[in-house]
Amino acid sequence: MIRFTDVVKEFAGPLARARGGPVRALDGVTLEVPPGTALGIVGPNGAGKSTLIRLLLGYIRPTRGRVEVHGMAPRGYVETHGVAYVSELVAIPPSWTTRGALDAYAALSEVEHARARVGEVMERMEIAELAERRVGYLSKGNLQRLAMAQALLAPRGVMVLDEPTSGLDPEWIARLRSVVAEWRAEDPARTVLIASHNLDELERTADRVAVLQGGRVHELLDLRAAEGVNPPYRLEVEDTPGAVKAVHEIFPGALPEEGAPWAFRVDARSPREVSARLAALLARGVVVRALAPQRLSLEERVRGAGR
Amino acid sequence: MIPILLRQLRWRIAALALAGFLFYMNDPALHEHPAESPGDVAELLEPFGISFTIANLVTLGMVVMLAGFIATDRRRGYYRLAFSHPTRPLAFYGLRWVLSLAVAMLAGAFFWLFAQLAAWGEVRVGPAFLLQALLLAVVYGGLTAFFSALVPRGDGFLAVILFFLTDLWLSLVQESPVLPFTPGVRAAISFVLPPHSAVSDVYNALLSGGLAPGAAAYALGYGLFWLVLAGLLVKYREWP
Repeated sequence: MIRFTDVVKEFAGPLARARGGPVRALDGVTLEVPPGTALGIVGPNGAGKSTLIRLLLGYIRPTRGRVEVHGMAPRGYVETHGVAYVSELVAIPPSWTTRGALDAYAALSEVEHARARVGEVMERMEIAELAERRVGYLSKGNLQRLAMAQALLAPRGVMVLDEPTSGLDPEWIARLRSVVAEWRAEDPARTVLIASHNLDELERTADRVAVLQGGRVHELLDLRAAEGVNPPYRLEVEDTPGAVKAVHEIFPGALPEEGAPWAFRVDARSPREVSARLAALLARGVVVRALAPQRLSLEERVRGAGR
Repeated sequence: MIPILLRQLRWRIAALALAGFLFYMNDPALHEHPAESPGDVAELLEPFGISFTIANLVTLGMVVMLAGFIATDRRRGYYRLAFSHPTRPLAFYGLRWVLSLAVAMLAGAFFWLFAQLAAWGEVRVGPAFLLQALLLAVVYGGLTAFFSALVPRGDGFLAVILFFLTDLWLSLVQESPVLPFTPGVRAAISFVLPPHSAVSDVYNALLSGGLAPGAAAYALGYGLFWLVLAGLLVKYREWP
């Protein structure tokens, strides 16, 4: 369990004081990430995403409040268990080779059979052919894959990904998703925290999404929960005589879509009721082109958060 | 971890080897012999020549091995991935410091043996004279570590500047009794600056076959003081 309790973080160096006071990056954040779940963090630049992650890794301490990882202070947890972490800016000494970097991280983790494990993760992330290439000469995408490879070196209970798809091509974005899914599947208690601007990716990976704004949790969206008891449906029918009249009779309150006279937004109390009404519609000779629940995308939900 | 650290430090070790060669070439007494020059200049070489050359080499070695070792990680963000693995930063940098001391002292020991054999064909200066090098290594290793934990860049440069400032200050104090400072201020400045005088006292005691435990402890304590401060900064200072 990762727990942020009323966390405030202010940056108050001498320069901040000279500029007129400390900068409050987080302002009373309370969040819980239960074991076995994935939490996405979204928000505009400066919302506090990176600060939240730095607190979680123990690189900085909260000004007020409490951060716990499985009941321990973050730094204590990281120093004893480690965290599978991919940072937003992947910083690895450019003179190191790909293999040299992984050897060094494996040594820090005291990975058993390090040589073999390094080979495995290089194969997994398809960077084996870059083993002897210096990090300074890697493309951004390859650097990101190297960062992911080092995160997979040892078994961990917590994964923290900060903009993990940055620089990756669409194929690798999809493969990264499967890597994370496999990592989670290996141990159902594993916890993931992902900060990303790629909302489509978050929608596929995270169970819940915290929308940060101005250092506060503006809204917590549960992506796996049913979206309301009765989601609206989109119904599209063929342009046949009497079709529109039949739709209005069978689905009272059906709203025609703007610019698409044969498409409607219809409501029903349950999937069973939708099925019954659809059967009635078909019995009236209406040709149905499509019927699908209308779910708001994460982007629409984030945009609408707090309204 | 040690083999990996040594591999990462290979260019610094090469630089240290080059510095050793330049130190050797810089002193004619170490490599000119009767057949090559009138009068055996090697015979002019006293323990002082060997001992202080080794001390300077080891001091430079510590600065070369340690320059930027914390500051660069902080400034460039290398710590982010490294310390997400189960590693204590204090232990990591502590190991790096000890390894640097070992490499610098090994270079000093090699020079101690090689220089004497080259100059005299025999060992005249005992290994006890390496104590002076060890003390300076701890002093400047501690200072470099402190600067590295405190400032984003220029830690090694600051240590070197301090080395020359201290020598300059000591020569001023010895040769210019009319310095515009009260004795109290002079004592305070001498106290804050690296303890070159204490290291000289240790050397003189060794020369007369004795030991200056007070002076040695003072020099050692000075270096360890800055090293402990560096450790506290690593442990308690937030990462950028």
